[in-house]
Amino acid sequence: MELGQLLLNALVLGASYALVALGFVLVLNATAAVNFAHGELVMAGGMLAVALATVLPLGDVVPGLLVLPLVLVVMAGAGLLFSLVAYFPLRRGPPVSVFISTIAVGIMLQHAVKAAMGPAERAAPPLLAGPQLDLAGLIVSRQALATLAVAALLIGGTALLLRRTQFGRRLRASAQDPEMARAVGVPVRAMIASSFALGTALAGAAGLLFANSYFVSPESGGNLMIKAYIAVVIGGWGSVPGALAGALLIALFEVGVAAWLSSPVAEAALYGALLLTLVLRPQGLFGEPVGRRV
Amino acid sequence: MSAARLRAMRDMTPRSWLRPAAWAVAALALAVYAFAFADSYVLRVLTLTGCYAILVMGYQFVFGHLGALSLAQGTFFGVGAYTAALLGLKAGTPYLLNIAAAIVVTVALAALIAVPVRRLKSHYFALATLGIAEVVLIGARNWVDLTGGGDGLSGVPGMALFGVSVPRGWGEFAVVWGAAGLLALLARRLQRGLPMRVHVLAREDPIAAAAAGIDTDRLRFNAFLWSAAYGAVAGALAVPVVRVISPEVVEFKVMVACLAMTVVGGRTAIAGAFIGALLLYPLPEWFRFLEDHYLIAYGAVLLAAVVLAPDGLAGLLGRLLPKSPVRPTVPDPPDDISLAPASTSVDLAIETVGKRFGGLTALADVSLRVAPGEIVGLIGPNGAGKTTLANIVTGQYAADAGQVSLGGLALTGLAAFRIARAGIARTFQTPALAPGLSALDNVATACATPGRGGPEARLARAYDRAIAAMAETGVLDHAHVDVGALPHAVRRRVELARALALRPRFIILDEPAAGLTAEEIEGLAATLRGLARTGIGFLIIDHDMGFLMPLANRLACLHEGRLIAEGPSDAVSNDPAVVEAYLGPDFHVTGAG
Amino acid sequence: MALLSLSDVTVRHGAIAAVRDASLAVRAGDCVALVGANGAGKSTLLAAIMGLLPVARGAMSFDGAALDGLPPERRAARGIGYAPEGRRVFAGMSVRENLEVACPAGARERERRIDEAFTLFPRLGERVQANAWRLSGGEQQMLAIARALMGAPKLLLLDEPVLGLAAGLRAELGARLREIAAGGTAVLLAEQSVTFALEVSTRAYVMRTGAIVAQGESADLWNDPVLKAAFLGR
Repeated sequence: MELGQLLLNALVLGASYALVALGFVLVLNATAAVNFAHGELVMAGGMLAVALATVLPLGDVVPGLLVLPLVLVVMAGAGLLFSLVAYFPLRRGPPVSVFISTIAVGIMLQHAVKAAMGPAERAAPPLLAGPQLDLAGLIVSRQALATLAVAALLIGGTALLLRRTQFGRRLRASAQDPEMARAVGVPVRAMIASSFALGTALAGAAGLLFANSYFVSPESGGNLMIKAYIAVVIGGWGSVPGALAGALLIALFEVGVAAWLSSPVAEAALYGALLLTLVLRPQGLFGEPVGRRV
Repeated sequence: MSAARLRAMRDMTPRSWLRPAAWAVAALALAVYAFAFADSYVLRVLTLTGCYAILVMGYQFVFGHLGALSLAQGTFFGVGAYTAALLGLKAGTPYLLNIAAAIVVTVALAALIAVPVRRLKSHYFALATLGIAEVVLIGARNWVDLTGGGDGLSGVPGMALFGVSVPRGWGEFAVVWGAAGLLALLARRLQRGLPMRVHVLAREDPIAAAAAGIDTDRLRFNAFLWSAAYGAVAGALAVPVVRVISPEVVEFKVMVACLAMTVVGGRTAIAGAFIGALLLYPLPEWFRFLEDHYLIAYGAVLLAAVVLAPDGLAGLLGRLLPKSPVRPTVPDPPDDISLAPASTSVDLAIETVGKRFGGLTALADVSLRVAPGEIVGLIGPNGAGKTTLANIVTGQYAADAGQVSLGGLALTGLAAFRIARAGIARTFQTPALAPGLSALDNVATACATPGRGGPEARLARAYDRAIAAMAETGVLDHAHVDVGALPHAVRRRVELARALALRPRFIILDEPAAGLTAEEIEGLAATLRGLARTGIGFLIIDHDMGFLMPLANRLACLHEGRLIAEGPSDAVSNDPAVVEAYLGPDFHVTGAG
Repeated sequence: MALLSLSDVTVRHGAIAAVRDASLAVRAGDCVALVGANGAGKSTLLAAIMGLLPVARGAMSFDGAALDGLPPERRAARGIGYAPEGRRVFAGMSVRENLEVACPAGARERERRIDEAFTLFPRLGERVQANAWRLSGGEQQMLAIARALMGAPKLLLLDEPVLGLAAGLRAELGARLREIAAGGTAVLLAEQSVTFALEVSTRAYVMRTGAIVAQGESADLWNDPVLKAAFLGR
């Protein structure tokens, strides 16, 4: 049964990582730029959830589920603002300048949160309160189930949005070939701004899940950003399903290896595995998606 | 190379006294401020700023000059710091020896890393170096016996040179800034002259660089090792000032600070390293009054700097300095330089070459020979596989079948830069020149073969050959003009001059007439005829039959990847298969002739 | 009154004047061909009409209003459809999605236009769910044209539509283009294949090294020496 428990833990962690990676890859595809503040945006979403839970007039313990929609809306707005400050002024500049501008905003975010909330680790109230469930010997917290459900809902919702709506199709067309997208009437600038809004909203949701299941501190951003970066690289640069698979693989690896080895060794092993992957398969485990412009 | 000629070369690019003067004033101001006004705390901040300037100078090698986004530079700083500190603490070895050991260990680490990762491109290279950085950080935190773990080790001995301990404060300041000055001179020597020009081409257009005979992989490898060496020195200089060694020195923060300083200061200018470090390292000190919130302001300044000067402050300042009023002169082409190929006895032979892209057959069973001094025109409708064939001959693509050889030398499978050095030069459909460099500098990149003498002598030698090549193609008047400002027809000829400067046996031209006017086309044809007479063989891809027909000795026509006709120009252009391929099926040739 | 008119248009590609002082007119319902060898400036001219390349000099007007400075997405909304050289279908999207994304109309009208596209190109209808990159070259070409029609354009710009197509497909494509023009949509076609271009079009312009060197009724151009000179240099 221990294996089942491990798999469940990995799945819960992987679901949260997947949300982080999903937001990251959406912005990456829209702009061809790495958003180094993505981890800080996740962290900010978590802290926002912590703050909202204390100020909302909804009784002593506000279930995380009620906070989620608010976090999504506020973070979407923050994403728009972020694109106006850190991306659009540099759209025609050298690509690496977006790197620096997002790092700069990341630093500002990290320390603004530290100033507002203090440097300590914080936890948000669980999504759903209640005793743990025992499913055929598997100890499952309601929190874990709720995390899985929320992540599945958001990822599924994003997939539906991308696949089934005109907005999603326009977003994908802009990412694949911006010039051609304009030639068939798609307002590409608006699509880029929307990608930032959507990606940041997902980052916020991921932050809320982390703040529920684990802890967040103003310092958490860097590590999360690296995880998203790794997920996208091993999943194939720019591939959305690849990023999700990469995130799950990382979680599986972390939980699995940590069960055998001490956690620093497990982390070092993760980077070792990453380097080996890059050397053996320079295009990622699953290859880059076809049809991207080079 | 006579001394007089070397002097003439030097006079070609008049030196302004303004730059050295600006450096001297800045250095003096810093020294006066440090010795007269700074207290011990400020002195310490300034000393560490000097260490960061060295770190950034190193980073400019790999990131600035070669455009490779390495995220391991902070790690090189930390590994250098750890090596020097641990030796000082545990072995008590002399400080200078510790610095040397720091360099050796760090460069060895860089070499070890570089072997597997240097071929990785952009994001993959960035992440691989980031992964290594994280592994080192985990090691520093967890190998407690060696590093003292997360808390680190205190009591690192101070600086001592030849048994004499360096006074704290101004002594350390003088040592660090002295080293920074020396390393700046070394960096200048390494990057000045030909290497600077070669790096621009390798960064902006690696394919064109390979066609000019430049080994870009090796350049990247060397740059990575130099960046590691500078990083190691920076770390080894910083640690006796701080007196404590902890995993902080290998944290990602160091890398972020270094990257930010490089982008804000300037990616390639040495002055940029100093400007970036001096602006950003003490910046938190300037915002002390904000207490705990100073880093928010730091982020805001960083953002403002990159938005307002995305190419760095050094470039901005450089533009403020008045331009030298002296116009550069163009020396006469040297008469002792020959551009004719060394030997004209072997053919370029393409034998049964085939190439597939996925399910698409780009080339099938193509055989073609070019003799020395011969001009062969390669025609065919769009998508027929002409450029693919050029790319296979010059090593950009690997053939799936068949082979290409030059006399007895098999070219198939050789790296592109080796094929170029073996004597096959080429031009591209759109002229592939390094922006921001003069025409002369661009041509000189093809003369970057190693040789005797310092950078000055090598540059002079390269310039001699480049000037001769430019005279040959008739663009010497434009020698000192930035290629970005040249008209298209001149750029084509500059690119041809670069091909010629390789002293090739054969030159492959990809659509040289495209975008030229009728008169320009005629002039180009005359130039090419003259060059062919010296023994150079040409394979010319073009669509303009008015250009090719009178020029080429023979024509070959590709259609859907196959050679459908080959022979004398008249015969090929009247070949029904060629007419059909060009004008469409069932086109009736009436009144031909 | 011409639907599209260009007067003395010059377009630069960096330092190259890829199109020099080109003037042309397309009337509603016309099928006009631009013929010339590769590199003559045909693609550049079409891209400039779409707004993808800036015009250095000269004026363009479409449907009674100037086009100057209008971004491509606004030109698409005004009624210009564009099928570029190399097709450039959205490779990661299905045939249906490629069509849907290019249609600004509501769901019902969108479905009607998709049905129309499948009537015009039945082969696309058979592969409606296939990813665009899995299509053959000919199918991708049909998809690119169908996509350009989804905005119900008044003018269709086609760049090298028969490049790499088998002979059978060429004939089929020619028939479809005549249907499109007969339906009232003007077509401006850039082609290297002279036979195809002159068979399909009613009028044609001959381009050489960036300039328009001849024009006339397509039927009259067949034996024009200028035409052969533009291709064969004699």
